[in-house]
Amino acid sequence: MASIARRLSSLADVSVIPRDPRTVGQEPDYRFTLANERTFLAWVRTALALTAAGLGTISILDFNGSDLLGFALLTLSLATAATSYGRWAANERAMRLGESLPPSRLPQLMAAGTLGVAVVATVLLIADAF
Amino acid sequence: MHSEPVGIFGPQPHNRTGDGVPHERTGLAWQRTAIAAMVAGVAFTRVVTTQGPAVLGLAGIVWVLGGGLLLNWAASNDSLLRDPHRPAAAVPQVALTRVVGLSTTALALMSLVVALILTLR
Repeated sequence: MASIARRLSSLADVSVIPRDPRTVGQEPDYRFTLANERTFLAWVRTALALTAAGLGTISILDFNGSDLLGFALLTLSLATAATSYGRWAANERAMRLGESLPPSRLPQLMAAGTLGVAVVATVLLIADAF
Repeated sequence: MHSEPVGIFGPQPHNRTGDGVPHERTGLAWQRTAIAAMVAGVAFTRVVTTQGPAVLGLAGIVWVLGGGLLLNWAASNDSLLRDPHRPAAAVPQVALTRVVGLSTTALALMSLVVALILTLR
């Protein structure tokens, strides 16, 4: 578990359970704080949608390779969920210190992952039809 | 005769007309997240009770109830945020953000484990 958490953290350039960001810097513009909170919530909703999609793929769909696609979706969900709070805290900390927002590779991973799942699902469905 | 437009919450204060009402949008984002959490909880419960270890359905029920509590909090929080006398300030929901982030991670991990169990047996 610890090694998985470390890998996910390094992937998103954040720690999974960082400290309270309010201990540093000064209060930023309240609009930025609220925008950061909405961004965090959007990532959480993405994770929840991927969880539901992964469970649905494994339990409802029945074609060769559907389990593999479900695992891929659930893995993406875990990566998204595990880094969401860390990303929020890192952004909050950077805003309070007047620094640039920390970069993250998670959006690229998410785009590549969902594209890969969609392409593989299409190919598997076509192959299953013959 | 001239009269000021007055809504059910009174005249719009300056700090809520020129900034895109971020408080209200954030309150709605919390509500959407709570609803998504309940849907994910129902999906998890459905899968484990029909195909997997049914006892894990309790976790799904806890998740749905948690989503309901979050929705209730978000709805009441939103009504507070509509108060036109509220100063333009944001209070980061650090503890709640942490709980939501970690519990979503737990649900994703449990779902992955359940999927493994279903596939391997």
